[in-house]
Amino acid sequence: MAEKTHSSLWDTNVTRRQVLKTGAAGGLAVLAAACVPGATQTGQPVDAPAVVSKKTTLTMGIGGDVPGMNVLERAVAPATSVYYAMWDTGMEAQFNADGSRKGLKPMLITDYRVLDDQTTWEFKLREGITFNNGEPWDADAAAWNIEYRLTGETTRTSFRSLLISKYEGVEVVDKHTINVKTNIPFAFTPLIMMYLQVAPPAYYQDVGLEGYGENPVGLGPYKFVEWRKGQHIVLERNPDYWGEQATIDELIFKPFSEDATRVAALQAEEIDMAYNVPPDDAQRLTDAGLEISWIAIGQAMNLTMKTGSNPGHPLESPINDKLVRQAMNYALDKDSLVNDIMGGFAAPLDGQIVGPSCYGYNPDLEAYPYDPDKAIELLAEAGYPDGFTMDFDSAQGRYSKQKEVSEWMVGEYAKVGINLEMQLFEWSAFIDKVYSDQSAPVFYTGRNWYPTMDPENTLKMYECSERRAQVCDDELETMLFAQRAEFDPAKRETILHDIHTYLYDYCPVVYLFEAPDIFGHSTKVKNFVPTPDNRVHLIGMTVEES
Amino acid sequence: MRDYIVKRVLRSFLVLFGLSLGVFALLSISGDPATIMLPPEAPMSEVISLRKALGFDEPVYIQYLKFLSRALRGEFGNSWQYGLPAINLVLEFFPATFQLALAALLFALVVGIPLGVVSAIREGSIIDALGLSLGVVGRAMPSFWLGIMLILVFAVNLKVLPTSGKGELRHLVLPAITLSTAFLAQIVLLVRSGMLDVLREDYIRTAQAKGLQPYTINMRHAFRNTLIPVVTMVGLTFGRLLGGSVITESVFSWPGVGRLAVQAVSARDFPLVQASVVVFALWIVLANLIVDLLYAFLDPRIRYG
Repeated sequence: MAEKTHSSLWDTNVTRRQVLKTGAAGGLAVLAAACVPGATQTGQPVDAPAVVSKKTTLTMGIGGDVPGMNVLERAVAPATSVYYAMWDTGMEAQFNADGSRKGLKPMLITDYRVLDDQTTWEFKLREGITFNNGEPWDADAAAWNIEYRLTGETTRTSFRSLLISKYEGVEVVDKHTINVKTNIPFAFTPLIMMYLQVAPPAYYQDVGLEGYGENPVGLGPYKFVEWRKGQHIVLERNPDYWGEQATIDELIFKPFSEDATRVAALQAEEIDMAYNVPPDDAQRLTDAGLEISWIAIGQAMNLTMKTGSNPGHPLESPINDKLVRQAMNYALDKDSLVNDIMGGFAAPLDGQIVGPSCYGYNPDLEAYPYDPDKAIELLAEAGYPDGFTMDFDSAQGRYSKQKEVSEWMVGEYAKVGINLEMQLFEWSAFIDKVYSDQSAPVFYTGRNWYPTMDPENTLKMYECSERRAQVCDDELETMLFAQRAEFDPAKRETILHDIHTYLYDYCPVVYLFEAPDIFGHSTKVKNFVPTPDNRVHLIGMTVEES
Repeated sequence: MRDYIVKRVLRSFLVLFGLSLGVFALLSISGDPATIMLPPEAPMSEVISLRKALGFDEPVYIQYLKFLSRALRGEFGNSWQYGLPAINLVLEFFPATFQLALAALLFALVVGIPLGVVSAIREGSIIDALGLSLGVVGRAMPSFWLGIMLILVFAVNLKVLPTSGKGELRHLVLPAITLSTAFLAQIVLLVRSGMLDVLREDYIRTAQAKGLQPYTINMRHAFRNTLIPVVTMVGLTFGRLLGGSVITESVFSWPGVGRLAVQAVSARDFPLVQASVVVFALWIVLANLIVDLLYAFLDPRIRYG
């Protein structure tokens, strides 16, 4: 029968005209069917849920698709923008009005202390709160979440990465207390709990990894409503939230991988707020009657130098000489960089790899002044009176004005005789080179201290044993180990000040600026205060009805 | 005919095999996915254990054979970003890409064919100059730039169309125009030159001598003979339009396979890249096959043995 149909089609029973007409009509029909409002590939309504009158909605344009809603498996930007609304963390950072660090805010964890053995951390959990499905948040739930992350085969979160090499185990002490054991005294342990976002164990085990990713249940100010892949994620206010209630009823996150489209969507009033606005667009948005809010976040943009003190790096290289590294710090006008290239949306680093929002920031240090003559002098003293040539790697697509900053540095260094031969990569190719230690001797990158606002993770790269250590220096390492094992905050802060002073002289990097978080939003959005921890704090924010 | 189809299908398998090898080789030399998938603070032990979990500790040819045996069964594994079966994701995003390509194709035909015909009939006129200009400019214009310009004009300034996203029919207008422009330009030039050739044929002169109406001569005798290469090109281009949607989908946040694939490449999400490429390739192979077969149908002079 099939053969007969086949032959009738291809022989003369059907005319060419009939086939062409049928084909054209079929094409139109398919297109029309696909375009009918409300029809999608899954046959469900595609529009964002209708806004009921008086319900306030905040529509936010984020930097790309959120690949899944399983917070236990992976939590990277831009997904974290959504995750923070749905999942509280163990603790979170608090800031003063000027963005400087104020301390920690207890969230799911209310208190902690280290026991006498210095390797057991006791955590008190918030009592009387539940996940959105009613499961209790208690010691069993906390222990299960920690254990899942540390022993699971598929999970790849920062929580795991930071703790795994020191993790010994977790035990339930009583209904609201757990102990986390580490294999060395590790003062940073409580701060890792700032990455702890949790799933209800019984529900998770019931629906499984994939099921949870599609229908997540959280513990936070907002509840999951809908995830339409590649189109939007909708959350609604959680009326049973344990803490201060959010004011905005509904959140819609829309992905825009192109900055220009995200900015245009804001101008066209399709979204109320845009993340990651390029500095060049800020003025245009302000002129169009929109508002720009920005803050310097916990991310130090720097020119990283792979010094020969690390056994894996070349022994013959100009940057092995401290004088050369200092010269490279003198050779750049950081103010010009911040104002002319970054459009004023950045804060110069004060000669250290962290800013004032970070614990242990040394207020006594100042940025290397712009002094090209001094740079030339130092280069000559180091044996490079005619300068030198060196490979330089950079990328585009990740940081604000990444390519422009890199090109600016090449131009500025040429003025003092340092010829950087730049290779510009796509971001993941670049990061692969950096992570596998195959990059050029100098490369442009950022180093984060958010969300913990603590330098432990930032300074780790200066330890010999780290897989991407740029520096290997005995004196520095002794101080780094000492701060890690120091449980007295005041004493630890003093050691950190010393470390930054040492690094100011050592110059493992060229200190550039603290990266900005720039948001564009409509005037309807009120009480939005950006913070240096690279997250949007939704509690207290309002959207006025237009 | 049946032998021809069987031969073509077998050859298509060879193409897919070669393609899978190419994609696998390119991904293999593009870097270690384990380093990109893990947070930057992950210790080396984590990198090693992830490499092992993903099978990257095995020789490349073993990895390829495993990939091939799974791919033949339609399995590409779970996407490393989404944690969901890669092929399901691609199939979920595919209808949006198909819809966009179809809309672009129809737009190109509806605008391009009449413009090409009129340009040829009124050779040297203003309309002809317009058609020719569109033909040249349309092919030269980068779709990224055009897309942003259309957004700025129609969505931001005039506020008559949405900037991006998928939903109602109006969401489709700007991306479809952007995607179709290069093809539209091709159609205009092809129809115009085809018409001009045909209009100089003896049988047209005969028709004119018979005293037929110009409309009948142009449409029935000239235009119909011009259509054969157009239909052929439509088939071939439809396959290419799907591939061309990569940029358009990114600019317009269109939830199709093109954007999905770009994101997968950036994240070195091997299963998702492989599934996307294979589905794209299957589509193009299929489109080519249909065109070849249509050829015989549309032009009775062509026969396959």
